[in-house]
Amino acid sequence: MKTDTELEGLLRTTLANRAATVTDAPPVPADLPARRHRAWLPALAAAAAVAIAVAGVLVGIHLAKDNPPANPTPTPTPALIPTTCPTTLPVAWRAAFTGSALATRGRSTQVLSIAPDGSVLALQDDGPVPGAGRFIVRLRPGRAPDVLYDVPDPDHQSVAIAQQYEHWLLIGLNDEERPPKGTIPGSSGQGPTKIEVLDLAEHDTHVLFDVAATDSLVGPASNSAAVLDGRVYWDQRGSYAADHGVVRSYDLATGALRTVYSGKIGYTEVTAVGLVLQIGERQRVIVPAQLPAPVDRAVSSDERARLGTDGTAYAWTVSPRILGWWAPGEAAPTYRRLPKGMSIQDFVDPPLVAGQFVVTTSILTDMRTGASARLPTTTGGVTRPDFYLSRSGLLAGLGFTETAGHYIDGYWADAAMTVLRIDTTSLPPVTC
Amino acid sequence: MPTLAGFAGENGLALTRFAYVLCGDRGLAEDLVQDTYVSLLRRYGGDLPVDAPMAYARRAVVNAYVSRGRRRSSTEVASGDLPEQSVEMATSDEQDAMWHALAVLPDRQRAVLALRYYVDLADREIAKVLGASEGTVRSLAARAFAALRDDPSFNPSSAEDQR
Repeated sequence: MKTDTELEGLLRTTLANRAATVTDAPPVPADLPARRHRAWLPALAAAAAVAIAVAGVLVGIHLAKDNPPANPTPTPTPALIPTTCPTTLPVAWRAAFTGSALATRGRSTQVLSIAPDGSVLALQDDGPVPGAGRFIVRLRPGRAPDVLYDVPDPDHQSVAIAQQYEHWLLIGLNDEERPPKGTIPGSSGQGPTKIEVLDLAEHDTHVLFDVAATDSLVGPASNSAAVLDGRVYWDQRGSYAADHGVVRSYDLATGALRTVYSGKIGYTEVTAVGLVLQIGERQRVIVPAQLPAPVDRAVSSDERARLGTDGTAYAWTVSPRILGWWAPGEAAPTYRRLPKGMSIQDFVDPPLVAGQFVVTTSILTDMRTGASARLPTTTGGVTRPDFYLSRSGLLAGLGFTETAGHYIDGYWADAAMTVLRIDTTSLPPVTC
Repeated sequence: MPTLAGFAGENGLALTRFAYVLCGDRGLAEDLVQDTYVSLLRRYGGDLPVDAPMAYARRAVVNAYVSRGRRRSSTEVASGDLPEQSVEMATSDEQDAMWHALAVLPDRQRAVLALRYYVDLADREIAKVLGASEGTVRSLAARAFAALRDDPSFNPSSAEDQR
């Protein structure tokens, strides 16, 4: 029987060799029907909106049912939404990007979450040598990394989840063989095989879920775990093949365990609308978050799936060109249309919001001033910086360290990642 | 600003190769790529946004492939045979077995494997391509691997069980 590593190698070779047999590409179609005007678009959009709304009801989109807006506020007519002006990043922002790298140790680092104190929690991997460590580390500006957790079996286990709530650290370990040839650690394709809570004050741990003693493909399985309002939630089912299961909760303060959901199972995650269960393309809200009233009234049931927050400010995508945003102190949401050439590539995902700034792919938009600027593709020795976490005005992510890495047998090896963290609260507005 | 013609000239072959490992059928791969060109043309006209047109194109190919699978699933029965066998290849038996095993995986599972092991995307990026969560990606990959492990070509005991 082949191991997963052997299957992965065979997959890479097979796909690469099969792809190489393709030597021609089809031509670009010469003719498309000319579209001189788009007067029919509003009607089509309206019809599509109705169809989507009806379909949403028919297929049972639970978001609206679980958390309906009391007095919906309609999105302004698209034609009335102002277009942001394209500009370049201010000097202070460029300097912040250049100085955003946090000190790390080890061979590679993977950003996992932003802690309540603004530090970045990350997985540190010390490299391909058997026995080399894997750790959860706390990264802070101007400080050396602190090790919070030492993975007990670093040759076979890695960290999929690390989230801090007050003095508790939620840890999700997954089975992950140390990759050969010093390649960047990938994902084993499995959810956590062990979920535990580490009390950072008392230095004791409480195990919530553990399949280490069994074959994880036969025994119980979980896709994810998350913390919300002092409780840990995780999904759990009898085996990977099972379609039904439960979502359990653990109260960090009291230790109380509960089953909060039972039925068709998917992936548990905390989003702006609360604890949701992602089942295929659908979301079901298990524990709703209390949304600020202006946001609750403004976002449609469809838009709730595309609602992002940094804990205080909220942003959502209305269309591939239009963003909605609200922050405390604002009487009503602000809408902005992005200029041509800056449209949202990942329209179906929640945008990243940090205070008044919203990041969509590589575009930063200041929702207060109505200016949009491209993020740098190379800065301070880092290429392709990618911000994907935010909390209380902070942005965090990863970029490739420019000078590191090389290919070994087609593998990109020893590519050091730079951890990036920007405090947008200390930066000036972006203006045209 | 790049043009669609320029994009196709630079990336057409790579996109067609990706479509091929995704669907396993040369003709369908070309159809998927041409549909993507049409989609790009309709969305952006002749000028493409400088932001990641390849990512958009890859996503369009995957969506078209998975949508096609959904439409197909109601009327067709999946076969364990390769969709096409016309290419003479000097590949090992194991690679042939893997190609056969991929052919019978559900579309989204196969898409995850192609994106992860051919394009080398991280799960987070695959989730964006598929319009799903990272957990869904991991779940799809896990199920795909479970199927591969159970394939008699890679697990002799599985073949014995089936006798």
